Amino acid sequence: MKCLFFRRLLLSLLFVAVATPRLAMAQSHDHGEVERPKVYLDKSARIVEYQLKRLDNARLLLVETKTDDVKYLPVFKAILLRSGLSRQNRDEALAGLVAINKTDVATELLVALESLDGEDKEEQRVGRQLSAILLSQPKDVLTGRLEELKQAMSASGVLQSTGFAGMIVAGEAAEAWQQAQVSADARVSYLAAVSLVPAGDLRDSLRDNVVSCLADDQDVAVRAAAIRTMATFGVARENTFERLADLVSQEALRTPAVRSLLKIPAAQRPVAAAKSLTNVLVKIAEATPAAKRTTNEFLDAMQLADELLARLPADDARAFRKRLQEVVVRVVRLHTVEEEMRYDKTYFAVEAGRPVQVVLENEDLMPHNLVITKTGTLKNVALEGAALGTTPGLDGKLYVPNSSDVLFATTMVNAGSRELLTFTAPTEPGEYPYVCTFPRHWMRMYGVMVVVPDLDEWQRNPVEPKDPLGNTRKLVQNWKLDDFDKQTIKTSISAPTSLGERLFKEATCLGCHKMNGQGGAVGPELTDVAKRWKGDHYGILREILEPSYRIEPKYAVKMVIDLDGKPTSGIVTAEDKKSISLLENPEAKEPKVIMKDNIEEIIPSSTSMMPKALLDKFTREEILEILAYISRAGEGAAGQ
Amino acid sequence: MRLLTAALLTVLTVVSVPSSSVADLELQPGDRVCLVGNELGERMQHHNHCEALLHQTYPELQLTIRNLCFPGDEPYERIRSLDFGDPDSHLTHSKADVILFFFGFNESFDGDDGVSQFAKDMARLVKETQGKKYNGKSAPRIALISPIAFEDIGDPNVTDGTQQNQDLAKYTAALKQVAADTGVAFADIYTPTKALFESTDKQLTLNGSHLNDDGYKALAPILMEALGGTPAAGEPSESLMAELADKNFHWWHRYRAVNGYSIYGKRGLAGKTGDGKYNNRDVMERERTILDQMTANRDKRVWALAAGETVADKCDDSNTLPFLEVVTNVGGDDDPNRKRGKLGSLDYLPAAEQQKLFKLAPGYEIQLVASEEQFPELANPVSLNFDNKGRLWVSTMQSYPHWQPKGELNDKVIILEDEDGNGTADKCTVFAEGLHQPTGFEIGNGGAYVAQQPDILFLKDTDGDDVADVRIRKLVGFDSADSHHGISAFEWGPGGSLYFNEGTFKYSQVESPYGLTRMHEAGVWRYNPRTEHFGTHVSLPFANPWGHVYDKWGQDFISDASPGFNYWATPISGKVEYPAKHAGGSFNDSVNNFKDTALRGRNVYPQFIVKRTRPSAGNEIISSRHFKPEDQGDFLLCNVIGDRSILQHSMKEAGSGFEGKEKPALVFCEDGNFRPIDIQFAPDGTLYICDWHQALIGHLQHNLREPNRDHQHGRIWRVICKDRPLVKAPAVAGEPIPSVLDALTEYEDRTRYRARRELAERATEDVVAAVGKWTAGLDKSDELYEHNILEACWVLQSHNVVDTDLLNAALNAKDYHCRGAATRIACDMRHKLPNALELIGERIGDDHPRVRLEAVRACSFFGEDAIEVALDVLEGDVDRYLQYTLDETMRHLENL
Repeated sequence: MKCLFFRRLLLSLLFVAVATPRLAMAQSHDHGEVERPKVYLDKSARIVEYQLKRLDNARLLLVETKTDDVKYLPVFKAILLRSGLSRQNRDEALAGLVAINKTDVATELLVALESLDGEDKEEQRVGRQLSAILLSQPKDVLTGRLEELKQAMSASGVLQSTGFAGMIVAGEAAEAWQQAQVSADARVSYLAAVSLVPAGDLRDSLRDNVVSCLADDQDVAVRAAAIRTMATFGVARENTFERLADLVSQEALRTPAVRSLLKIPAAQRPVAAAKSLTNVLVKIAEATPAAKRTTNEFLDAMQLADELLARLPADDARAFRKRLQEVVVRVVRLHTVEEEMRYDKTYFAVEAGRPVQVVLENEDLMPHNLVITKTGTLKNVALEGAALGTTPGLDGKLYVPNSSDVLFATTMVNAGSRELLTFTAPTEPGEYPYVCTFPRHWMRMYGVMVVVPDLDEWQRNPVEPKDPLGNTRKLVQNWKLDDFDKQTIKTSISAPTSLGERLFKEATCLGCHKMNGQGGAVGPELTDVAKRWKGDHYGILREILEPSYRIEPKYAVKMVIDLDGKPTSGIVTAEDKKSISLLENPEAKEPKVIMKDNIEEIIPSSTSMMPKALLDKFTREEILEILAYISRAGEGAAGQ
Repeated sequence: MRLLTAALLTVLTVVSVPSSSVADLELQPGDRVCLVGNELGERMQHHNHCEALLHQTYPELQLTIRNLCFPGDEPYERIRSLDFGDPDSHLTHSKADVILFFFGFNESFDGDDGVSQFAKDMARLVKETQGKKYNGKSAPRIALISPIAFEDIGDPNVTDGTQQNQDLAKYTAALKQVAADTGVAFADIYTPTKALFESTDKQLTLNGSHLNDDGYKALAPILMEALGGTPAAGEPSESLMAELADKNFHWWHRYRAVNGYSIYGKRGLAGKTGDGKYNNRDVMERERTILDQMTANRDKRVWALAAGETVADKCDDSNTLPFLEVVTNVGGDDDPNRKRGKLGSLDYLPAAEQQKLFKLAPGYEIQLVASEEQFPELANPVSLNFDNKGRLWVSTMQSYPHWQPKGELNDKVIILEDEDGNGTADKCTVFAEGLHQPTGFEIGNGGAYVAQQPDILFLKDTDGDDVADVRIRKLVGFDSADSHHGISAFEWGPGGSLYFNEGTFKYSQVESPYGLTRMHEAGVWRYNPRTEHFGTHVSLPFANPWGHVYDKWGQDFISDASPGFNYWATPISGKVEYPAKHAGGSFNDSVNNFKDTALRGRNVYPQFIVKRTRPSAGNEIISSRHFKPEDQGDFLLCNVIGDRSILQHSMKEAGSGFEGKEKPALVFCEDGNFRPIDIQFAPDGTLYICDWHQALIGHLQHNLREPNRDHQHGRIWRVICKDRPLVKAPAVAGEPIPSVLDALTEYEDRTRYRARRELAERATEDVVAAVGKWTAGLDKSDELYEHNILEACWVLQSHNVVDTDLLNAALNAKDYHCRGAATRIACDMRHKLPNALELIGERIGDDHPRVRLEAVRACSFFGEDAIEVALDVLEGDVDRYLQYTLDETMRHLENL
């Protein structure tokens, strides 16, 4: 009993962590049956919905689904509407609904959006995700739905916003704006809709409408919504900064204003406005009673103040900082980025020997932690942490090794939660890497805490720290498949060049894949990939950008739970009657051999070991070069 | 050392094991021997035969024996209340040179699946222990003692142990292998005790699995021989036995000190003395040191007696440290009770004066039944019951909150008789004395079950003088963390199981012939004396559930004292398995700490009364024709501080559950020392009140040794209704079975309660036959008919018998109350009903939500198949209680 109880706990933890895998077909090993939740799909809808509601995300995804029977509808519906699942999960569920109901995506999405009550924060988040799926449909799909979209504009919640956004995308922006004049509530919905419109010229063209909603004579709710939307425009950001900075002194608008200001890149924050805003924020800090200095709102304001100090001349900054230090401990906020496996900052600076509070806000769908390490120990700490498995490490924290190389560490922070890490910065200036030690996250999810003797001095002339893993590339963009045009991709690919080969190596592809006899064996051989894909460049690109979209079973990560409940995950490199060999990560020198007698359960997943976003540090042109190289490299080999 | 011959250096050599060799266990002069492990070892300090034989055989070794066992301990799972100290700290305290490990019994219930894990754990335990130097010099020498065999006691209601013996043999073999692998000594006492049980007529165990006194006597030479020694001839002297009992008594009160939470636990820091010098921990740890010294003084006397020397009559304890002086904080600036108005008056009123200060609901009057003025034995009365003859029994705790070393340990259970029938007691018989904190008790099986943490004793008078002459530690392994959270609120369920409640802070492990039950942080236990099944009835993070009462249809209600909360028990009595507990209760968030926010908060499980005041104690349902018709069925609740009243609530059925609404109090007393702690209706229909009668109330707010804690006062009151005749209850004690069965048609719940208790004591054969006749003769047109057949089902259940026709009639009764209760019986008797789940499934779609709820609750006691059955309840209306029950049932079944 105790053992089982523990195993359940473990499974749910691991599943949440492994990017919510949609598990593949059951294994046929003696010890490897997938334990699917037993849901009585033939019972009435109320019973099925109740049972599905009781399943956590990992188990919900384990429920059997097919498209040949209406009894699977509640399962697809539950997945579509469940918070914390990935776009891929929702796309599949949507496809299931469409197949069974013989409808189309737009119909199913509008039905789903209507079922959300809009009050619950989680539901709102799901609603925005569904809305995004709808708005990413080809324009003609939306123009074909004008009547429904018009009706939706008079609804409420996410459905109403989706109505407005749909009208805008469908080319009826004027009518949407007109409808927004009906009431303050409608305007709020409209403003939320603007941020649902795919980023770019169309959204930016609505900026004037939004600016007009900032006016004094508008409802506070309308002004607050407008403030939030202002941050989502790619144009006139200096102007946005100046406008919003003026609003921070108004208490009712302060929090949305601060949060939108935080989203404006530092370079687009004019110094004069930054200085007067800093003055306002320092006064706010001084006037806030101690008991209220830990609220999210206050921390946001202090983070903004801290960032602005870096824009000011050192003397000004020092004076402000002195005042701030009298009332608050400096706060550094670090966010995780949803589905990108990275922190939002690649470095931050702290002053040597000073107290500091680092807040890790986990906005991703899986748990992450933050471990600050001694210089030069990032990889070791991460590998030791991962090797712990589920054995608690330092101070009982999961994946944090009992090592003197660990300086400070949070626990695993769940999706949507935050943790405060308060400590005194090391007295020795230097570059201290921080990393998420969850297995295999370290390769992408790390940064550097720079400890400097004089923070203001340093910020006047910040020096970006060296990448602790030696990577020299910077983030270009979180590339999505939609960023490339399916039709034109082929023609934009040139003949392979030596540049392509160099970039291919830089993208660390050979760490796992073989190409012309070189490279690792964790992933499929790439030499003949073009042949296998029959020249479908778009398909190959999808394999790179969405590694789990379609995966050959033999390269899917499997999790093996041994009799003690200890999990090992990796890809199966060999298997015989008695044992199974798992390669735990691309760096592992040898696969781990586990005797089948010791195996409680083998859990397959459709998650690839290949990290997402491998190409985020490459430009569009570079990506096309790499693609060209991959597509043609095999030909050379064949010719040799 | 140099005086010893070589032979003495290796006194005990271990049995030669044919298949593999194990090392010898040495006993050396002056060795300190610690027993570690489960109940087999734990009981050895109460039955001192093994220890006596050891001293008798090796008097020159002058061994110091310390028993560190706890019932239910396993190599790596030994639950304890907060800050009790880990095993290492206690072995270090006792400077162990030699450790005897008693493991394997509880583990053996995992059968084949668990044996390899057990061997692994034992090997690890031995290796880790070998790395320690508890005596500061050397690694301890270790012996692994196998479990004993299981005895077939020839009772068809109790397991014969066939399966258990198969498993015990495997676990014994595993231990032997571990001993061989690790080079430690091993004693196989399984094989010789199995042979002994098969060859002896005399019953040597209490229940098949745990030895009685004769059993331990028989075990002593077996254990010594199994360790390779040669037992000395002859019985140990009485004086040696007495000295060992005294030594172990002092050790017991040190190691298993009651009020642990107020010593080493968090509340050790409370109880600041009036002069600010000491807290509870200071004062009580000093007493524990004194107990250590007293134990050591007795070791020396044991050695002398074993060597054939004589000792002084009385042990000289003049070498012990003084007690710390506790200056009162009562009434001072720091007295939190004074600040909160909780303090009564240190000027205690005579009972006659107190009586003038009562205010009763219109039509009712109060009378004094007994007070300490006439009966000094009544000091600190805590709970009351009526026996089948209608006599009042009371347990008293003069030593509350904690016996002090060197003082008299003499808490009691007394019988108060009203021989002339005028309503006041005129005779007091001490049924049992020498008890420690008997927080609760219940009469039954010809004796009484008495809680005395960490044990429940069974006390019985066999010669008719109303003084107990049999004293058995019946159920052991309860925690002793706090004497005011101790086992209380004993209540027989209608089906013949005994229920009793335990408070928070407690971590208990209770062994039974069917395996181990653990429970932490409060709940209601359930014990079936017929089958020896033991388990939890309600495991919910209560604070202190001091009230438990059943209504006429077998629905039970629990009052949680500290928060003043009252719960209907059915939805929270579905199965949960340790460490899981049901959601809700005042400590839900700190104990359960659910991730799922829907399960958080103290109101996740609702109360049936809106709480106005606190804290409470005992409860009772008005079922007495002596009381007014409009008050029948009302829920009464003792309040000991906020109102010092008997609170009264009207009860209404609502959906699947109940709603209570407060009415004006039945009883209130202006005397601040009135502390009504327990109530019960007497056979004549009057309501008896146990008045703890104390100025100070509460454990926490004053030092445990606060000099103003009263050890003298105590009163019993009764409430009568003017102008209404008393009830003439039929006699049941010793009456022919058919007339006792007729008493089951009486109106008063307590009359039927006593009749069922009487019938449970009669021979099963006779009762079953009489029930058959009685039910056949019942008038089907009688409006009580369905209730009568339900009573018959309950009587049979108490004999571990089920009549399927009768049960089916009850399951299909017109009255939903009857169907609901019958569903509960089908669940309880599932071991006798192959189609139990089917029967329960038929009630999932019942017309009434109460019955549906009982059926869903029942599903939790079955396997995963029951999920499909339980889910169908969603085809009908589901109210809050029903939804809770379904959610909790699913939570349990999904995790199987």
